[in-house]
Amino acid sequence: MEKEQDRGVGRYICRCAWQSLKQKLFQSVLLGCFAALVAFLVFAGTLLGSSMESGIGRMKERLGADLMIVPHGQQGKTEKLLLTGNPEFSYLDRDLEQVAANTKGVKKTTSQFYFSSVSADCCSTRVQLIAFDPGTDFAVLPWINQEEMKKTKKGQVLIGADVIAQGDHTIRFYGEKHPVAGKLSRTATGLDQSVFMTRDTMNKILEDAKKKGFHFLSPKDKGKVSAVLIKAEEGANLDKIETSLLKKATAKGDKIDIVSTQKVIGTVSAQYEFFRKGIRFLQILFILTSSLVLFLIFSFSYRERKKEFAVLRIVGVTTGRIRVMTCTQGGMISLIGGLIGLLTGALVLFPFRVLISDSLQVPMITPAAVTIAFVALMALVLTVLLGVAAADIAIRTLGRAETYFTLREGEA
Amino acid sequence: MKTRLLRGAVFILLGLVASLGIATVFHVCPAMKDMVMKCYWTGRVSIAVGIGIILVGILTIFAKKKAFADGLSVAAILLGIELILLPTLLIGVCPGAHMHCHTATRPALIITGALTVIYGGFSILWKRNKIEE
Repeated sequence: MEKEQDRGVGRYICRCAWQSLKQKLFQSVLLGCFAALVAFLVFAGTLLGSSMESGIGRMKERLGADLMIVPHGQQGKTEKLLLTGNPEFSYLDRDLEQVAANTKGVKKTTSQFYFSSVSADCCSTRVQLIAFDPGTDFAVLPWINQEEMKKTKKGQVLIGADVIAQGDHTIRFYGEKHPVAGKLSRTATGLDQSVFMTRDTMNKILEDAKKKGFHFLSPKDKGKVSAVLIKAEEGANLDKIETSLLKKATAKGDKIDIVSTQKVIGTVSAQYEFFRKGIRFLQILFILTSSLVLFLIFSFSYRERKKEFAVLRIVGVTTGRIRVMTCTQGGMISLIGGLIGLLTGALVLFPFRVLISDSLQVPMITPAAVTIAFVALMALVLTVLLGVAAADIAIRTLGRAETYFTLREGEA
Repeated sequence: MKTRLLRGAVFILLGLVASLGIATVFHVCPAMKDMVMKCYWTGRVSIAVGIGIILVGILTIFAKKKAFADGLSVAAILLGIELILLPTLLIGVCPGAHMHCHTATRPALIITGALTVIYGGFSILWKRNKIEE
């Protein structure tokens, strides 16, 4: 019996809170907007940070080489290739692979050849084509399903996660169709927009390109490579290897640049760190501002409704129940606002994630569904708690006055 | 009048995203010298559809009868469906996952279309029996 009565009171309190929200629509919308802002910033900011963190983590895993020897003046372009997949091509002597292999501290070496498709060919955008050496490779093969690799025959290619094959599982380069043997898992680097192949396939495509009037290699460039990738021994000093390689290349008469993948990752990490700090600052700033605004709006609203509360007190409603009613009101509006904020966050973050990642030049990988759900729940709980706390503090500061005087206030 | 103004304003806002938004922030890929990509046509048609939604919004403000307002909402729903179909089935966008039309135009059109459909449906169901005179 008592339980039923409590349930009835609860329902009555909820109805009262909902009615007062509806009566002051403008005020409720304003409160809801601030609650939505808090939820949006906490949800979107946290997920964005987490996506970037896992993106950089995957990038560290995937950039298998410690150092890359590239032709002189190509350092910036190669860094761009690793980050954005922007197609650039340049060539150097293949002998450098042997020179690098004989350098102290070097564990493995392999060479790669870069060239590109033309815009009209496959994806209305140029795609970076990477030819690797299956015999020595350590950068591409560990990330390819071995079963898929076995199936790869001459003329077939492997595509990055962002490259879209045609309906018949082929991809067209320089007028010729090439069967797609498999798709690599997402790396969050420029390699996602690349197409991988063996040297035989590369030679075939270069011939097709030549027929179409695209000359990537002059006769004197035959047998050259675009980059030599180096995997250093555990604990080896990369700077020493770099200096030694530069000396050897200069002695040989080759002009080279050396790209340290760790430095590339370092630049991206610094960008991420700057962004993370900015987001954290904004989150704290908006949580504090919104808490203050919610408190002030509730205070003004309750000050206006002082007489209403006094009448409720006179008809026997306890101060506790009035407090519960106002807190319910705060909870309701922040819940609605919070849900709107989460929805807006999801609509901005997920469909536009590639655009955000490309604009910020930081790799991003969307977290697992469980993590997303957890962050959403945390953001919602925080928003509701802020709303309830603001309403509670506002009513407590008001509740000290004597009911009789409150009711007679303003009378002559 | 206030309610009608609000209802119409939401449609006008959605129409502005589909027309002005696509012409500016969510633009399609820049045209190349000798090649017109399909996203170019998606962009042009979506601007026209967006203007259609804006007109529906303006008419909604002046629609006093519920039945007329409902008819306009149905028109908005159809235009919203068209916005979703333009980059997905009807014309499409460039397949390159990092092309601007793929990363910005396509999601913008799908979201705007979906919101137009949801809001149009909501407008029809909202106060279904009430006739505003």
